[in-house]
Amino acid sequence: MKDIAIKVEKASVGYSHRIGCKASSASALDTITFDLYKGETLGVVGRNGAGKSTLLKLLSGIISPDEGHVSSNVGQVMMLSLQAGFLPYMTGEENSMLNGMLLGAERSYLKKMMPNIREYSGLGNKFYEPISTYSTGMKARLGFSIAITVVPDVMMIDEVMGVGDEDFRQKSNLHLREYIASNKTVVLTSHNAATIRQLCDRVIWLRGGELVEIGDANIVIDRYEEEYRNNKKKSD
Amino acid sequence: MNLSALINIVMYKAYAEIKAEISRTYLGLLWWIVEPVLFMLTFYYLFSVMFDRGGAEFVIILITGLVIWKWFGSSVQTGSFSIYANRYLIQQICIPKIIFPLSVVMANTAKFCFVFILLLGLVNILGYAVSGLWLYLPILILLQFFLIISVTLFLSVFVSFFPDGKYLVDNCMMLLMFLSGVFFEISSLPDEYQNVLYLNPMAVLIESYRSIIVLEMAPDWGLLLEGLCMSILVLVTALFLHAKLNRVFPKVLR
Repeated sequence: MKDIAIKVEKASVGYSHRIGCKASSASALDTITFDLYKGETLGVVGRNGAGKSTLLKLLSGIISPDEGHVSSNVGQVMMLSLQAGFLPYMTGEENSMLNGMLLGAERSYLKKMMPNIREYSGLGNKFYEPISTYSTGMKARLGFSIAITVVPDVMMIDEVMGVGDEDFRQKSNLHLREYIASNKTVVLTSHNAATIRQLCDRVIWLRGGELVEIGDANIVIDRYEEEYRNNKKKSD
Repeated sequence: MNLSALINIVMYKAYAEIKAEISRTYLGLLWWIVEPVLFMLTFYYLFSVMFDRGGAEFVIILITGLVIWKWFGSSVQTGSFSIYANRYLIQQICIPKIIFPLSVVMANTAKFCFVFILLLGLVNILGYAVSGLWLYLPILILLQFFLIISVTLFLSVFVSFFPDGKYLVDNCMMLLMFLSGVFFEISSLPDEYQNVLYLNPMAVLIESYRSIIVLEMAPDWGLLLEGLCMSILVLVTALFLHAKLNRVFPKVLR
């Protein structure tokens, strides 16, 4: 019997939209039940609007379910979000501290890791300048370097992607893939079925906020791709 | 998230906010002084022409009122809007939303302390002696700090869930500024008005600071205690709402 990291029981999430005084609500997730096991890599597949992002937010504790329960047996669950809360007039070093603390790392730990962040980002002395002077690629590199410094118990990844220029993209992509392949608990989404097949142990398939199937990665992906082909044929 | 981590983030964000203000403008820190002084000069001129008031005492009355109000006004207005202002960030990271209003309050508090010390210096230069009563000032500051935190935390929930809240808060703050006796002394009004105006804890606080600095009299502790009770009530409600709604904010603010 595997240890359960996060237990999702009959969880539903709806969003309300409002224009002026008129309000309406839409369901994003509809009575979802499954367990996330410790040490596994779970893939999430589904079309746009199937509820993938909402599921990731639910698992990372950013939102609570409207109905049902989500209970976590692990400490820190983090969504891999790059450059969250970056402030332009602060230096790379200051942003690393702020962003790292927002992501849940201790101040003392971040202080200790600061040389590593600088080293990994490859920013050199630019690290001590305000990030308003950075290029987009440099900001992306800094963001990634901070995110990998914070080691959570469960990591949520919305689309596995390298960032930055060509060199850094390869380095960061490799780093993520190694992280996922190691014995860490990871939940990831991707539009690329090959990536999911390669990285995930199990896959959860969502359609219109409902859970279609959860199980062995290859089996679920096969069915998912089959439906995709059938739909395409129908529309042709 | 444990308490020490929370305090660390709040302090760091407050530091960031102050740094932002300093680096965004040419005058930077000087604006904190220039602003109340400009305000004071305008009102001093107005009142000295229209109501024939003037003299060093009136300068002190005006500027104390303005500096003390500014701490409350800026904290509440910026702080109540701060969760909404961070609506994209809270979609990505699971954090106590209380961090945003708290860091705004802390940044404004640092500013206030800086300006307040200058104010006390000015008071001294204009001939008001330092008295033993000044030892009460930290108590007033603490009471006001408590009031600011409770009101800001409460309104930060209100503004997040009620989009028109910001306009409502901005307008009410304007009204409240005039009702708090920033530009006049409530103690000089007829009793029946005083009783109503003293229901507002900010009016009581401003009068208390003035009574210590200008009149060299102890403040009305009874009225201050009433204000403290109000603060506690609002704070408990606000903390309860924040705890209850922490994971609901991202669903509402999109």
